[in-house]
Amino acid sequence: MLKIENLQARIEEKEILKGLSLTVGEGEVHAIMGPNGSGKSTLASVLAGREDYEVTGGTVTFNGKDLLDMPAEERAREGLFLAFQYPVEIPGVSNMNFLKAAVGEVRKHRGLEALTAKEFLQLVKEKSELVELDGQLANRAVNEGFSGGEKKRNEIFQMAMLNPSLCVLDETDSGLDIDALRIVSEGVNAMRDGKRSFVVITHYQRLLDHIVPDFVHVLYKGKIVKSGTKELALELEEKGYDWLKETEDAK
Amino acid sequence: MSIVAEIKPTNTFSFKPNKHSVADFPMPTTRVESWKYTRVGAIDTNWKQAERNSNSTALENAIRIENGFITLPSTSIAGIQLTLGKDLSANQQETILSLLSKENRTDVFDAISENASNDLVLIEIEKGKLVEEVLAIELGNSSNMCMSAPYVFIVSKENSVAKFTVDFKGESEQSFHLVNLYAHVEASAQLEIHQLQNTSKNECILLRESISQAEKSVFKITTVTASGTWVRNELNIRIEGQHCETFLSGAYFPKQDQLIDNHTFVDHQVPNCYSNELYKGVLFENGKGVFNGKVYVHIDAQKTNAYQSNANIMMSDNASIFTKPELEIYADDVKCSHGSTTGQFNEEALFYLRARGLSEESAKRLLVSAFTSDVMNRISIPSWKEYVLQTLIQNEIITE
Ligand SMILES: Nc1ncnc2c1ncn2[C@@H]1O[C@H](COP(=O)(O)OP(=O)(O)OP(=O)(O)O)[C@@H](O)[C@H]1O
Ligand SMILES: [Mg+2]
Repeated sequence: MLKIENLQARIEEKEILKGLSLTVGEGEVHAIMGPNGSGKSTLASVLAGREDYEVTGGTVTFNGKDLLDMPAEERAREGLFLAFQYPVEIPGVSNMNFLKAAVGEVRKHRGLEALTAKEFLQLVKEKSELVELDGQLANRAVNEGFSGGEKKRNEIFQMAMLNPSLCVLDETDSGLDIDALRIVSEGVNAMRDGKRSFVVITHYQRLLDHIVPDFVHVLYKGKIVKSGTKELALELEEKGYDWLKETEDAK
Repeated sequence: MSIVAEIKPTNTFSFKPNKHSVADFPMPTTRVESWKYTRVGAIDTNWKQAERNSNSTALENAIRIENGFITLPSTSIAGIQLTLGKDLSANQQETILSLLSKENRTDVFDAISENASNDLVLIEIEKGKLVEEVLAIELGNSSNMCMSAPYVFIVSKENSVAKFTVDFKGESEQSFHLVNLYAHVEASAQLEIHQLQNTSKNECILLRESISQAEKSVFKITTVTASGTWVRNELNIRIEGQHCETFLSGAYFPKQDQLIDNHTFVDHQVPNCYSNELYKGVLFENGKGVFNGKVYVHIDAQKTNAYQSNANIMMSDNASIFTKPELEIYADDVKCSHGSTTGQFNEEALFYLRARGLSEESAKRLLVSAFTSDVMNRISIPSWKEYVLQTLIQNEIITE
């Protein structure tokens, strides 16, 4: 599904990813944890195709294709979805129009027939119920005036609408209260179908209680310094990152 | 050669005493403050004075102004009286002279217009009449290298309500529209004018609008310049009576080497009036924009509320915008504000949209339509709004 090898990336002369490797198989859920500033969002942005980041080395293949060679929109159409850590507010662009355009592009690229207006509305209804997103929000401008939790639910709603094969969730749990966390997690879990893969970036075990990962990785200073199974997340919750930092910094 | 050399005086204003002489005025240079950013070179060329197209036929529901000559619509609109220059009564001539006298600017273009004007029309909206139908005015130059100089006079009589559309169509390879529109909105009347300029070829426009408002009147105008080689819109609004409302808005999209200049003037002469101005520009390629918004609040015009906003997005490093708010406020108990912003595209938003599968081009167009949506939402005629939006879609400025 996704194979990242020795990925190096920088922004404004600052090296952030320093040789990161990660393989995500079909249907797998990988959690990525790590201290602030370690490069988690950078990894997500580089995967999604943000051009501010310069990839200086390494390769990424996605379903056998060279991901780094594609512009952001093509990655999305190919089935990669990034749920942003900080979804941007876009005044004046209606959520609905934007989604209609996005769904249209994605379906066209995948050789699927365009949805009729009725089918589209049906899909909106179904998927917004999945994350209990107030129907009114879908009619407003993209993220404008949404609460933190609503923005995150809107990300998952869009994810469900676009039907990606690889979902990268960047701290989707932050800003969510207990109920919203449960709703969002159930939404994500409903999308786990044995084929779709997930990369879940988080600081907290709380999310991983709901979305149980197959693998857990620790990102530190631009590299994956430790990988394990879901027990690793529990260990990190208990011990923090210092023990890992120490061994890593000693190298 | 200058346009001045070509002028053969016409009879349009034969009833006007003391006509100005073209020879008395120089062409403005960029040393003249109000022409600082706009060179007149493009329009100061040897245009032929326009001639009537004898094949031109009346439109069913619109006033057709072709080469500056005016043909009234074949069907009439209840509540609106249309009179061509040659058919004016003495009273109507007086009305026109009084409208003209309200404008205290006189420059070379006034002199040229007055002397070379092909035709004029007086549009009177009956007192107390709510006109539901929209009166459309369509302007086109069908002969190449011509200068057309029509005048439109509008009187919205007391307590009437009417809406107009003005459509500048690009029909020639190269020509010059020198258009004057004068309107007086009488007490408690409401007048709206919604304009589109889409002269895609080498056509130039100098549109001079002079509006006056009596007490409790409402005047609203929108001007969307979708395309035009050289366009200058001068809009002067004199608020002469209390408790008036004035909304003036525009959007402009210069591309290639186009120049689009909006010079507005809101003259608050009396107390207790509200004006709201919103102009937005999206500038592509080598496009150049000028926005000059003057608001003058006279010493007696207490309790004036005047808002002005001009925002621009630069789509290219080679585009340029010159924006200048000019607020002159002599009353002390007023609320006036102005804001002016010029920025690049919101890269975060652009990336967000692309990350959902939209191409860069369609993401940009979506953001452009979002940026200008508040101006478009001031177009209160749904079919006209749709027409304007479709024009912008065709010009590859916004997306559906
Ligand atoms: N635009 C930028 N310019 C300069 N430095 C940047 C920029 N964006 C990120 N960085 C730096 O890159 C490093 C990695 O940032 P990143 O956002 O990837 O961390 P993160 O692991 O997601 O952290 P957090 O847990 O706080 O979300 C940080 O040191 C950050 O300051
Ligand atoms: Mg982050």
